[in-house]
Amino acid sequence: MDERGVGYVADMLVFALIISFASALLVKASPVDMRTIDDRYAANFADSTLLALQNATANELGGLRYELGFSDFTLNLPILSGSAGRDLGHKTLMQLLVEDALCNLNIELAGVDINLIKLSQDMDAKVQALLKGALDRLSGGLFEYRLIARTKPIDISPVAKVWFETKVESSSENRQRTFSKTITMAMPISWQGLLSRCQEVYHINLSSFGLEPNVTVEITLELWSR
Amino acid sequence: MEQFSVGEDLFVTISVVGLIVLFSVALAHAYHNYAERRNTYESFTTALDIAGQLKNDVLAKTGGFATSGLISATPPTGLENYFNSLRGQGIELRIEVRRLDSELVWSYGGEPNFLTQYFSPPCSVSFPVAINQSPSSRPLGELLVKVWGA
Repeated sequence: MDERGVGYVADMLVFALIISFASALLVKASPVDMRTIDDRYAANFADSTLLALQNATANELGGLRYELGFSDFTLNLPILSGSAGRDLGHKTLMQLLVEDALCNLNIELAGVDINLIKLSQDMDAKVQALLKGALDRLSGGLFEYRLIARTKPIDISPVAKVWFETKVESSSENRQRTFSKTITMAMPISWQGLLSRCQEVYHINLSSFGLEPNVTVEITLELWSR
Repeated sequence: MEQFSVGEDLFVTISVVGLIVLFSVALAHAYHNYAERRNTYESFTTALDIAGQLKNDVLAKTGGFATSGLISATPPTGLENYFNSLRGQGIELRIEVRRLDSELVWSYGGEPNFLTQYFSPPCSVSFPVAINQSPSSRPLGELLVKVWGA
């Protein structure tokens, strides 16, 4: 091969090197990390799911009817004949969750949960089942989820506090990349109203506590990709 | 004057042309992938923004005010104007509202043409919504928004 041939080969190799470099740059260069797309979608999905739960009524998911009672005992007295049952199918799923919190507040005394007789225990289980059914269908196999509803603990004495927490989840595992959205909803009764009812029942003076005017429930939805 | 050497010069020429073609194809392919990723991201961002406007405003208006996430059970008046404003920006759109059992409640807008959109496929996103059938009946559903370039 003469000198001219060697020159061609050298030019060709330089050209190949430049093209390879340009291709490598384009392969590596991305206008955006593709995980950003997943992240934005998950964040929007969490937002939309909470909005949908705030607006959708329970009737279309089989409704919600429960009997007043506690443990395995329901008030099946002939005189009540159906009046112990409550049909709440017209309420939205979030309204039911807030009402569940109101009817099933926990009382902790000196670090020990006091199991009071709750006439709406049946409601707690049914609301959880309803929400799980709805979230399973909404997430459509794309996401795992955890919905947590809780109130701030209220110290009603140095040793006693009142609080509520419930959780509905598809998986108990924790992932690093989790998206959460929290909304705060007001209960349909003030703390003073709620505690004055407690005073009537338990004969305790609770009026001296500086409580927030409204009882609020924090509802947090966590989502992560499967 | 140099003598033309068939064996060596032809081999070098073919090699050079072959490699140029090969590397040019590689470069074009790399650019195609890059453009596709950029296009996907842009379409997806557009689809997300449009879906957000639809579920929080355009489709959520009842009696003059909007309830975010509560979608009208029929195509609202004024949707054509919204479509026209997007069309003016070179964006085509199709909206589908479905129940959770996939039954179609309503849809608006044409389907994308498979052949014309071959190199720029439509991008779709779906979000959970509640469908406003009546004050006491608001089932859960799905809003599907499909976006592509005009």
